[in-house]
Amino acid sequence: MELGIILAIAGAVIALSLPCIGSAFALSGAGQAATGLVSEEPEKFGKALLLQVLPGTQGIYGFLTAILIMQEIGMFGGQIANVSTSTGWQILLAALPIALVGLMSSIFQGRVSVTGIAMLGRRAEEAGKAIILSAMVETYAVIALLLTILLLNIIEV
Amino acid sequence: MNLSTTKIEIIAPQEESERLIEELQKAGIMEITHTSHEEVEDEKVRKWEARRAKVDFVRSFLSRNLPKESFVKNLINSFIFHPYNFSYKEIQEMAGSSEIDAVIRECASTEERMNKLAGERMKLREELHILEKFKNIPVTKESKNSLQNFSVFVGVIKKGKREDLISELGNEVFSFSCGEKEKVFSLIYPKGKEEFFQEKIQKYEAKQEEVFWNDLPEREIEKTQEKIEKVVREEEKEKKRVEDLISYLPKVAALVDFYEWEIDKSRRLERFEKTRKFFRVTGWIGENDIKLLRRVIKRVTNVFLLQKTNSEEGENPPVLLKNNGIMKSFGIVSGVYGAPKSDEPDPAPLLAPFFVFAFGVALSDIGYGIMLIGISLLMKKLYKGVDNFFNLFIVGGIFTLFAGLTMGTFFGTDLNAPFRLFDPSANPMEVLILVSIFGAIQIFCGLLIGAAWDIKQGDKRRAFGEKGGFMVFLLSMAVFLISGMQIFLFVALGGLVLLNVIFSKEKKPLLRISSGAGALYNIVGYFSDVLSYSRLLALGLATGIIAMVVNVVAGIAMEMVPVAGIGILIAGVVLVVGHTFNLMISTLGSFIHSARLQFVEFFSKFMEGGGKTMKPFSKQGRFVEIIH
Repeated sequence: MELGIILAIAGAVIALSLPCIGSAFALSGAGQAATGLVSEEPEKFGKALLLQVLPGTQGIYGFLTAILIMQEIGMFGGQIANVSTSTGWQILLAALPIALVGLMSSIFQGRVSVTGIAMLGRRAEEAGKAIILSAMVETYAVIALLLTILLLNIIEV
Repeated sequence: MNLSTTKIEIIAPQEESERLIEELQKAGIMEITHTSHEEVEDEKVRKWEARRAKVDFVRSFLSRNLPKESFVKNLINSFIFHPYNFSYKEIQEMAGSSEIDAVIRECASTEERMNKLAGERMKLREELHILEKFKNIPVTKESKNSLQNFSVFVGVIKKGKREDLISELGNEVFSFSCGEKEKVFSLIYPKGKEEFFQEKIQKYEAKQEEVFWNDLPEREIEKTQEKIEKVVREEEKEKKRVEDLISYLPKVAALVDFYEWEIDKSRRLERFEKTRKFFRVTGWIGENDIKLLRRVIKRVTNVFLLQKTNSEEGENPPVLLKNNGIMKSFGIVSGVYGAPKSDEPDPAPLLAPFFVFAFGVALSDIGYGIMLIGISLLMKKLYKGVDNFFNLFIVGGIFTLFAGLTMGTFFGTDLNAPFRLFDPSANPMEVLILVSIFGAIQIFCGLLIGAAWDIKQGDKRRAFGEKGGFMVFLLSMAVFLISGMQIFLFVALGGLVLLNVIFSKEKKPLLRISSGAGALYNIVGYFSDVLSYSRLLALGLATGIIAMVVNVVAGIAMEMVPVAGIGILIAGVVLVVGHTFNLMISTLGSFIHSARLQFVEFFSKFMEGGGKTMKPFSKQGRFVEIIH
């Protein structure tokens, strides 16, 4: 196998793995906070769930990046493209923004979600504000995803 | 609309105070302010509180024992307020009758019995758990204590060590029995050999267990199981009894609200300022409601004084927002941010067109637009009281549909339609420019609103300086980017600095110039505001790509299963589940990020927010909605 294709696959692998690790970490923290809340007030489950899943978006961004890369190197068409070493590096680098930012931003966003869930305990009617505060962190994952997609768009295989 | 509120005072005869406060609470148009903040604890309040505690106990007891609903239904219900409907007269009659007293007694005794049974059941289960461990151990409490020449040891040992212990004890032991579980055993050995046995037992770290069963464990297990069954049957009976009481839940909940209102009334009444013959109450009211208030008071007495009064120092008027029709739905979006100040515009109608446009671009798919409209219509039909919320998504769905048409995508598949205007996956820069232009227009509108508001408030400096400067800047930059004539770049920068200098708050010339230069620094902020709208492109691409991934996975599933019918079936399931999932997360993302663009990029140009919403003194219930 050519080095190029290995690098491209490595790109897909880290684009998916790192944000998914971050999201899983964030969701577990928020989930624990939510369990505590729901054990006292089960009727707040819906809102707590909403806050818990927010940092899960990064994992999905990673997933779609991995699919984009796989499609670009022709893994779905049955005929894998001939990826040069340079192109392989380009794809790997393009995957980095969402991989790294996705990992860290989901963890940080998870912390805001945890405090948001704590807020639900006292003022459930203000859930909307907690959601927005948590989503603010996600901005940077969105920007990173945008760069990754734009870069992958430019790279010619 | 942000309706202006005004502070008023009412002075009326003392003997009418109770009737008047009842009418005020019924009308629900006035927020009462207090002159004293002391907690009042009078006899009446205590009486109502005791009543409320009783009915609230019944309410929570009955709602805990409601028949179980499906998971999805529970999830949806946790977002929706389902009030019980009563007329006020009905509630009053209930409070006067003794019908509920019997229910309270019944619930209290039932709960006591249920708790006792549940405790019993748990104790028996625990015993059963222990007994099951000692199955096949031929020792009972009696047999253990009645042997004269032998000692009995029943215990637990570490996994795998039991066989070692047996072999080490050899012939010294009289009888050795193994329990069904690997770790359990019993020993019978002659008295007088205690030392030897204790040493061995200690060596293998076996722990002695108390023998509490009077019969052989197997028999005891049977007996305990029977006992548990009996308790469970009793519990079923009690549950049946509760089921018969559940029909009282609406009434009981209504009474909780009723006593809450009575407590509220009594507390406020105590805090009124009083003379020997008159009392005075102050509060805030919407200016348009003063006439209505006059009519409300006239229902009680003709001897009264109602007039405007000055607010105290540091007291801000509460905010009274009122929107009709579809604008009510957009009030939900702006409500997340909080109320504007009393002298700021209501942002709901202002953000409406921008919010739905941003929402549509972030989803941009014909299929998802149709799905969103369909689901919203369905939810409106199935549930009451959700109209405002889902109307928002119907409008959002229509914009999603249109955005999808311009980009020619249907559930992630490219239609290659001739009417397609943009292709974000092949040419993302086009869409990036589009959303940036949209952002610039929204920011310009924000500045325009801010300037108009400033002028209305008499702050011309801010209107023409800060806001006018950036309006000139944005316009000239637009002309520069379109025409490419460099002169407009200078007009942009020059206009910005000049307007800020001319309309600066500062008096000294040097400070004026520095404030003009300071405006240049804010350009960075405006650029980042405009670029923030690029999230719409990213979200739109993400929606499209996830949809595409669902289609690809469905395609693979169909190819992999050679049997034609099953392959199509699996692909169908993947498509339905996948697209529903994508619609859910993408709608959530689109909603949140579109709202954020309003709060951060748009609102900051014309409002600060942080107003306190008016909370009229009313008969608004936690569980009940009064019907007239």
